[in-house]
This record gives sequence, C-alpha cells and structure tokens, in this order.
Amino acid sequence: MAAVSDAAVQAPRRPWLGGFLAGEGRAWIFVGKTMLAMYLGAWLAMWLQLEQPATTMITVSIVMHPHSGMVLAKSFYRALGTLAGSLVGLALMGLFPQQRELFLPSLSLWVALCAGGAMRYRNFMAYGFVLAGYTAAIVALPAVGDPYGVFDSAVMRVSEVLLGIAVSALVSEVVLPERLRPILRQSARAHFTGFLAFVRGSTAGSIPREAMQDAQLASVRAAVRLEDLRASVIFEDPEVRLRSRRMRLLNQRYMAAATSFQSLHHLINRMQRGGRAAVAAALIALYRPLAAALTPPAGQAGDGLDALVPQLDACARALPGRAAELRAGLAGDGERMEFDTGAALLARFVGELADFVATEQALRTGAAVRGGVERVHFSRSTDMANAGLAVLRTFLTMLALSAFWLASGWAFGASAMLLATIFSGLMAASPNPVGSVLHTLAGYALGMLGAAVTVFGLLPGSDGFPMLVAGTLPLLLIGPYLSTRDGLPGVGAGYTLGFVYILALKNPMVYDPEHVFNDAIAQLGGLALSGAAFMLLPGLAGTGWQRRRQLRQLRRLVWLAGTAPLAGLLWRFESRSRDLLLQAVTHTRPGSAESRTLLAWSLAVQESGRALIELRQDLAAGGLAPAARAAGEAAVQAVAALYRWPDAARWRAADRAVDTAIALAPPRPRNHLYQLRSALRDDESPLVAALRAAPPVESADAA
Amino acid sequence: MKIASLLRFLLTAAVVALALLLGRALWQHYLYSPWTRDGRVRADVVQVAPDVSGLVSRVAVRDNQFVRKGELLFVIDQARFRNAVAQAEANLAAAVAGARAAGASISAAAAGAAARRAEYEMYAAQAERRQRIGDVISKEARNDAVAAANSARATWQQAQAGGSQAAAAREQAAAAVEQAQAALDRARLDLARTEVRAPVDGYVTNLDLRVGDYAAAGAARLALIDSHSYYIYGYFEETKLPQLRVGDGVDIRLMAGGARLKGTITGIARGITDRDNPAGSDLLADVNPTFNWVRLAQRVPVRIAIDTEHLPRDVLLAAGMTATIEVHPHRAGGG
Amino acid sequence: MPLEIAFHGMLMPGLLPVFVGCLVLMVLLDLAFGRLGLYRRVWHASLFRLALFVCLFGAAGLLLVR
Repeated sequence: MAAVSDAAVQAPRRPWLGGFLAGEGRAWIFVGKTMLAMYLGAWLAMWLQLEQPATTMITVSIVMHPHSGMVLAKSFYRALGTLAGSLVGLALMGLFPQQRELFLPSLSLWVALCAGGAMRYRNFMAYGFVLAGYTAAIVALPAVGDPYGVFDSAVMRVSEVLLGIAVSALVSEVVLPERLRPILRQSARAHFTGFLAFVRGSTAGSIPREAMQDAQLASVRAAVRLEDLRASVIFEDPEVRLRSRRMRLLNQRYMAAATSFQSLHHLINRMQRGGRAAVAAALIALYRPLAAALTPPAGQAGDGLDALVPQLDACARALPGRAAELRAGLAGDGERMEFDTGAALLARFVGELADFVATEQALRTGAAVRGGVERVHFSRSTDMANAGLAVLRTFLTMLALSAFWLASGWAFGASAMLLATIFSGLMAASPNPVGSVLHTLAGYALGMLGAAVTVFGLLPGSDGFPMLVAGTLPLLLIGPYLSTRDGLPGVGAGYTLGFVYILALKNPMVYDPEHVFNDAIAQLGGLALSGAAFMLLPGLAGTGWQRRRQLRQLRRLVWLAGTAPLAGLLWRFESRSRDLLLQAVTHTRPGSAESRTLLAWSLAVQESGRALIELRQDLAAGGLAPAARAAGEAAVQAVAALYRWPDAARWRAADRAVDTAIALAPPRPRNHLYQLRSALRDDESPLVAALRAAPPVESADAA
Repeated sequence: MKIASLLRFLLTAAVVALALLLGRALWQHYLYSPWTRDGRVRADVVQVAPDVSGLVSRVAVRDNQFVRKGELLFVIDQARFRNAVAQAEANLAAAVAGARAAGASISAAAAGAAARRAEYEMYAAQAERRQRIGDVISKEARNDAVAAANSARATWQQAQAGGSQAAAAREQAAAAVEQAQAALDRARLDLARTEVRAPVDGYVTNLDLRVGDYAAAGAARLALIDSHSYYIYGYFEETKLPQLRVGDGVDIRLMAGGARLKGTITGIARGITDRDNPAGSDLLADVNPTFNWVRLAQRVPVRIAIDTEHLPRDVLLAAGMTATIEVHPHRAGGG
Repeated sequence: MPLEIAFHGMLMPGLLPVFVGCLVLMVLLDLAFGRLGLYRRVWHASLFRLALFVCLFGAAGLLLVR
C-alpha cells in the first residue's frame, strides 16, 4: 500500500510510472478477485461435500472478467446453458445407455450444434451455448461406464457449476467492482456530441464522399458498440435495466437520423455534380440555420442539452416558410421539384434529429420520452454459413476423437473429448482461431506444468485449507495475471484452465501421478486436435468468398426493405445493415479498396432502402389513384430486384419504372421517387460502377 | 456535500451491519440449532425361528398381519412328534411294570430269609441241646450239630443279602420309570413346540414361509416387528452435540405427510467408527496419508423414544422411515 | 414454514422457497428503488443491494422457518 501511495505522489514527475502502476493496480485487483472467488468457491464446494471442487474452480476461471457487468451477463447465460446441457446429457444417456456407437455421435452432434450456436450469437449468449455443450459432455462422458450414476453425476456437476457462477458473480459485484456503466455513459455522450458536432460542421456546404464514408464507419461502429455495451450493462445495474428500452430507442433514432443525413448530403453532392448548382445552393441555404439551432446558448452549463430541444423544434417549424421563400427564387418546374425533394428530406432529417436529441435529454433527466416509447429491437444480421461450418468442424473433430477412443480403448478418451468440446466452442467465435488455439495450447501446457509442480512438490506436505491456499496460490495467480496482458490473448485463460484441471482438487486430496500424466496427455491431445481442425477447416471470416456473400446480403437488405411487412421494418433495416457492415469491415484493412467498396455499398444500400421504406409508407397511407399506386409499387419492386440481382437490364427496368411512377405520383411520394432516381443515376455509386464493370457475371452468381 | 457523502456511507454501512446481524442469526439458526434432517425410524425386530425341525404344515398368519403375544404363527408337521410321544408313553408303562416285578422279588427274598432263620434257630437249639447233654453222645455228633448250626446261620445270612439285592433292583426299576416319564415330557414338549407362537405383540413382516417348506430348528423364518419398540435414531453433526442432553424434548416430523410426533432423547451413542482408520489385513492401523482440506463434521447417532401417548391416530410408523428431528434443549429437565 | 418440505418424494430445505421468494421480492424492490433513484444516494450500490437481500432473506428465514 505504502509503495503505491508513494508512487502516486511521484507520478507527475514520471508519468509513465503512474500509468504503469495504474494498469498494474487494475490487473492485480482482478487477480485478487479471481483468487478470492476461486478459493471461496473451492471452500464452499468442499464444505457442501460436492464431489469435484475442481469443477467449481474451472467455472470461476471461465466466468471471471474484469468488468462486473460482463461477469453477470456471462453468468446468466452460463446458468441457462448449464441447465440445458445437463438435461441433454441426461436425455442422451437415457436414450443410448449401452450403445456407444450411437451415443458418441449424438453427443458430438449436440456439441457441434452448440458450437454453431455460439458462432451464430456472437454476444454473451455465445457463452450459454458453449456451456450447454460442455455440461452435456461433462455430465455424460464420465458416466459412460456407469449409466446408473448419471443422475447423481448430473446433479453434482450442475451444483458445482452453479456454485462457481454464483460465487464469481458475488465477488466481482461486491469486491471493488469495476463497472461498465460509466464506460457506456461516457461513450454514449461522446458519440452524441460527436454526431452533433459533425452535423454542425457540415452545414457549411458539401462533404466529400471519403469523409462521408469515414463518418459512416465511425457511426456504425458506435451504434453497434453501444448496443453491445447496453446488452451487458443491463445485467449490472437496475437503473440501466429500467432505461434499457429507451437506450435502444435512442440508438434507433440515431441511426434513422444518420441515414437521413447521409441521404441528404448525397443528394446535394449529386445536384452539384449534375449542374444543378442553384438548387444545391438553395438547399444549403435552407440547411444553414440548423447550425445555430444545434449550438447551445453561451453560458449554459454542460452541453446545453435542455436548450437544444426547443431550438430544434423552432427550426423545424420555421422550415416550411423558408423553403417556400427559397423555392420562389428557383426557375423552372424541374428545379423546383428537385428542391422539393431535398426540402422534404431535410424536414425529415430535422424531425429525426429533434427526436434523437429529445430522447437523449429524456434519458438524462428521466422524463417521459416524446412520442411514446416504441418497442424496438436491435436486429442482428448473421451469416449462417459460418455457423454451419463451425457445426461441421466441431462434429468432425468430436467424431474423429470418439472413433479413436472406441477403436483404441483409450482410458482417457473422455478427457480429450471434454477439452475438444470446450475449445471448439470457445474458439469458434475468435477472430483468429488457429493463433488462439496455439496460444492457449502453450498456456495450457505451462499451466499443467505448474499444477504438476504444485501437486507433487508443494501440496503433499500441507494440511488444512490455509496451507492449500498457500501452496497453490503462487503458481495459480500467474494465470489471471497473464489474462490481463493484451499482448498474450488466450495464454492466461489456457494457463488457468490447465492448472485447475490438473490440480483436480478433491477433499481429501488424491495423489496419483500416473493418472495426472495420462490425463495431461489426453487433454493436450484433445486441445491439439481442435486446433488442427481449425487449420484443416479454417473459418470463413476474412475470406473473399465470405466478403462477397456479405456484400450480397447487404444488397439483399434493399430487397427486404422493398418486400418485407412494414411493421418494425425501419428499425430492422437500419440495425441490420449496420451490423452486417461492421462484421464485413472488421476483416478488411482500414482504408483498403475492399473496405472502401463495402462502405460505398452500405451507403448506397442505406439511402435506397430507406427511400423505399418511406415510399412504401406513403403508398400504404392510401389516398392515391389506383394507377399511381400500381406504378409506385412496380417501381419499388423493380428497385428491390435491381439490388438483389444487379444487371444492366434490371437497371433500365428500374429506371423506367421509377420514371413512370414519378409522372403519375402526387407530391409526397414523388419526392421519394425523385430521391430514388437520383440515387440510381448517381455516377459515383458502386451500383453503377458494378454494372459498368461486369454486368452479366453478378446476375449469374446471384441466381 | 461532506455531510451528504457521510450520510450515503452511513446508510450503506447501516444496511450492511443489519445484513451481517441477520445473516449471522440465520446462519446460527440453520446450522447450529440442534436439528437434523437425517433421522430414521427404527424398531426391535424379533427373528422368529422354530424350536424343532420339520416340514411346515400350516402358516396361520398373513404378511404384515398384527399378532398378539402367544398367537399361533405357523405349525410344523406333528405326526412324527405324536409318534415320539406314544413311544415314550409305552416306555413308561414298561418301566412301571418292571418296578412292580422288582417289588415282588423283594417280598420273596424276605420270606426266604425268614425260612432260613427258622432253620438256623432250629439247628442252633439242637446243637446247644447236644452240648448240654455232654458225653452221652459222641463227640462227632456234637461237632456235626455245631457245624449244621453254623451252616444254617450262613444260609440265613445269604438269604438276608439276597433281600438287599432285591431292594436295590426295585430302586433301579423306579429310576427307570422316572426316566421314561422325562422322555415322555420331552416328547410332549416337542409336540407342543411344533406350533410356533408370537413372542411379542407385533407385525409379521416380509413373510416368506409356505406350507411344505422345511424349517430347520434355530434358523429364523420370519421377522416380527415389536409394535411397542418403535424409536428414532437421529444422526446429529458433532457440532450440535453439546446442546443435546438425555431427557430433552424432541419434535419429530416424518417425511410422510409431515406428521408431527413428540419424543425424548434417551441416549447418545458413545462411539462411531473412525473411517480414516480401518484395521488393515494384518490387524495394524490403515491410516489415510492425506487429510481433508476442509474438515467436515461427523454424525453421531442419538436415540429418541417416541411419546406414544401423543401419537396421532392416523400415523403409520414403519421402521426405516425418514424423519426431521428438532430438539428443544433443556425443556424436559435434562442437563 | 417447516425446516423441511417434502416435494414429490424429495426433502427440500425449507429455506429454498423462502430464498426464491426473496429473489422475486428483490427484483421488485430493485425496480422500485431504481425508479426512485435510491441507488444513487448510497455509497456502494452493489454492496447495498447485497446487504438488502441478505436482510430480506435473513428476516424471512428467521421468521418463517421454524
């Protein structure tokens, strides 16, 4: 303690030392909490006379995480997964008690499906799936030779796992908790002010496409990150849980406003390039007062949020009048129509912006949300192919292991299968599975070495629980400490797991060197085989094939916008397009051509998809002549089909359909149709570039 | 601001302190108050075995039947034992006849002895008379008379000894009668013991005896649960023993239907097996080289008598039932 | 409430239903206190919540389980 406070005093003189000590302090707090949870869990397991206190310790080592919200979220899904897995383990034992040839493949299938589930749901639910597979294996495998014991074994394992979950949740919640909520609040605020500043800065005129793409990437990242944080903070804080729905609403309103904002700027850019500078200038003039509305009055405390809402409302009210003035200054019907389109888009944007700011204000003050709280969900887009591949890979791994087990009569085959089960689930979602497995393998081997030294060198002379702690602590705490080092991903987790597995704590202790080394070999074998499976059947992440698939999925979102039922469609479209983009962009180098293409496509998809949804809402509102309605629907279908199977013929058909609809439509839908047409004819759009490059190939591919 | 933050801290601290108190109280209540979930109903079981061997000819009870003390349980085939009684009776009659014959020979011997005595007295008188006469008769005749008298006396004495012999023979015959009588009594007892009767009031349990089974003497053939002997063994952790005294009142809750019974502690076991130290094959201690990391409390059996006066009507007690036991220390004047 | 409850042939500790009930009560209290903003007025919110739960559970256990 004294050393730390001395260093804190000296910190200003040597800033690197202060930073180093702060980092170390956090790391050691985490190590201390992990150790406390582990020994508390072990003690309780022994005191409750559970069979294997080691299972409790393993659970703690998997569940502990520096942030308490994370632990609770993991624990929640983990408990669900544990219960489901033990039920499946029991059911499998009940179905095939004497037929190993049927039992092992069906267990493999279950484990594989769980690994696929972990891949499909990349959030905390992934843990539930990993655990569902793991518990089924840990319940059923040791009971293969003794089917009568499977129920007792299941009850014991579930009690041990649940005890570990409860203890680690308790410790990380109560002892020096480190919370995600401040991080969430901070990043939500930074994101909010950043967006407002960007909008304010852009009112001066046009924004180059490059800057637009960077802004898009940043905003997408922020939206998905906020959703991820929210999903885990609700487990941490009852207040956040109360506001969870509003935070979701805030995120959705933000996404809507961002899309409108981008569409508006695309429109202005196109007008400037297409020789309609006068219209563009009029729109920019119409747009300019927004900067003043977004600037908080001087002398206001904080960021002046309270003043912004009425300012924005006033600006929205003043908009139609100004628009009429500026419209009068334009010559010709065509220019006026284009101006109307832009003005309508601007009005939508200002309205959405006002809603967004009002939601943020409501969230901060706790007041009621304007416009009522709508039930919205952050819809995620996932790639089933990748999950399917994980299922296949895990199934083959487990099948190979079980075949080897059956053929060789290996006494420790169960250990190898268990380890393969754990790691094929845990590693499937990792961005670089082969590297992770290698790191983990190294950590695992080290941990087993440490445990062997502890078991045969330190423990035999010790007696009683304090001596147990004293004997195991020095080598065990290396694991959690290593897992706080960002440079060595997986090593710490591997070390801790390997150590705890080989330690195999029991009350009273059993010392059996032969068993320990056989077990160690089997576990390393299982781990290595799951690594080999990742090398033989690498994940799809980052491959060109997957990128093309994701691009196609991105385009298909326009088809979704054009065809799916309208209820809740807007939010689904907005969130899914962002989620998909982020997944695809994660595996590309920033600034590379691939990343640019993806961003360009996502902007085009968002603009056209959003316009389609607005248009469909206009059509659904009724009051249209049947001919106009039919033409509008035909245009929606044609544009949706074009994005799904882009080729020159469909482009021409879409262009024609939109033209026809424009001629028939009343003013409000006409604005959206105009926007669609201008997006279709945008020469900077990736759609046009793709059609120019290779029209027939894409269509054959997509069909 | 300072006061506000102090208040915040105090509020938390107060609730935490209260939580500590309540948690500790609950812990004490749940873990150290003298109760156990590990109680068993037990009863004395009489293992009924027949006293004689033979085929079972009749089973007079049904399984789980209640029987009073002395009621017939089962019967072993009686024919052989009746034969034995008849034979013993015949033997007795023969012995009695022999005794009578011995009595008759005593009378005959006495009569013979009287005749010899008369003869002797006659010869003795004759010899005396001849001596008194003196030399009138020849010395030879005198000597002959004396010898005849002596001889008559010896014959008399012989007849007397024959009488003693006849008396001894009669005693022998009387003893043979008693022997025959004892054999008859035994045969009658065996016959009576072919009917096996209940030694106590109780319930016939797990009856596995059929007509035609062969029942060997001394081998138990049915279990009879003594209906007056129900008691409870509560296995209490050693940490709870200091609060238990012989005579403490006990609440018993059966797992079956949650029936409540009353009871009293009648004894605490003074020893259980040390599981860490079983005897090895060569009678040396086999001590476990490792010791528990966390020491667990052993359980010690405590015997509890059930208060039968307050036994609810509808409660069915069966040995082996599970019960929860809660002790009320010192209420019944123990310790 | 008794120390032990027989449920489909299994004896459960009587504290178990009390525990579950307290959990439910705690969730409701959590919602109410969160709405009132009480957790912002205490020093260590999670310790406070834990202590509150122990108070609830302890009191209920002592009162109900006899």
